[in-house]
Amino acid sequence: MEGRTKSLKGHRIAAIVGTSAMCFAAWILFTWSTDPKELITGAVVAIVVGCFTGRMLVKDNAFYFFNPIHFFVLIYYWFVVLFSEIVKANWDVAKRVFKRDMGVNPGVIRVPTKRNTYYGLAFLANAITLTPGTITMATAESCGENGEEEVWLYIHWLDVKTTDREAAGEMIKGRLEKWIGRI
Amino acid sequence: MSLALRIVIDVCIFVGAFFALAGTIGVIRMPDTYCRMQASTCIATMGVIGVAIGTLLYAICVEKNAAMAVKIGVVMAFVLFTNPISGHALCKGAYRRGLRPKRPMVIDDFKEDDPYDE
Repeated sequence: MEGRTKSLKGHRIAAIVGTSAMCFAAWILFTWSTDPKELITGAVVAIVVGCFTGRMLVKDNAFYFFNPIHFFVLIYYWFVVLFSEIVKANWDVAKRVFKRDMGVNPGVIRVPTKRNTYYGLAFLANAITLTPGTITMATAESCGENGEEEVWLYIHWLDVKTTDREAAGEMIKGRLEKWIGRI
Repeated sequence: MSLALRIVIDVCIFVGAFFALAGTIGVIRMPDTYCRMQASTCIATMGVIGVAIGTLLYAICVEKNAAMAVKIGVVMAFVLFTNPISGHALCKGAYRRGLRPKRPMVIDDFKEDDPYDE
C-alpha cells in the first residue's frame, strides 16, 4: 500500500515535470529570446500550468517524448507519412471536384483496428479525418467471439471501392496505422 | 530577395489557394452533407498547409523573424489539430439527428449497429 501511494506520487510529480518542461519549451519558441526576465516568467508560468494540468494530460509515461527516438518518429510521421497521405488524398478529391460526374460513391463502413492506447486511437482517427475523402464518425468497442476486445472505427468514405471491411481498412489506414503503432 | 525564393513562395501560396478553391467548389457541387464535409476537409488541410508553408518561408528567409515563423507554425498545427475534432462532431451529429443522403449509401454499417443507440 505504502509503495503504491509512493509510486502514484512519483507518477504525479513526473507528470507535472513533463508537462512543465513541454510548456517551457513552447514558451521559449514563442518568445524567442534569452532575456533572463522572460525565462523566469516562462518558468513560473510553465510550473503553474504543469501543476494544474499534468495529471489530466499524462496517463502513462510522462517522459515518453523526451526519448529522442520516439520524438523523431513522431516528427517523421507528421512531416513525411501524414503529409504525403494528405497530399495524395487532396489531389484525388480535387480531381473529383472538377470532373463532370464526380464519381462519388459514399458510404459508412466499419473497419477493425488494433487495440491501442486512447491517444493512439485518437491519433489514428484524426489522421483518417485529416485525409480528405474519409471522415471518422465514431469509435466503438465490442467483445469479439473469443472474448478479446475489438475496436471499430466507423468511417464515412467518399468513394467506397470495396465493402469488405478488412480490405477497406487496409486501403484507408494503409501506412498510417503502422507508423502510429511505432510511435 | 532572390527570384528563385520568390517563385517558391508564390508557388506554395498558389497551391494552397488552388486547393481551397477546389474545396469550395466541392462544397457547392457535392450531393449530400457528408460528401460536402469531405470536400471541405480539402480547405482545412492542403489550403492551410500550402499557405502556411509559403508564409513560413517568407518569415524565415525574407523577414528573418523567428517568432513570426513559430507563430505561423503554431497556427498551422492548431488548425490541423482542431479540424478533425469538429469533423467527427459534425458528422456524427448530423447522422444522429436523422440526416440521410437522398441517394442511399453503398454501405451503411452505422445504421446496422448504432453504438450509441440505447
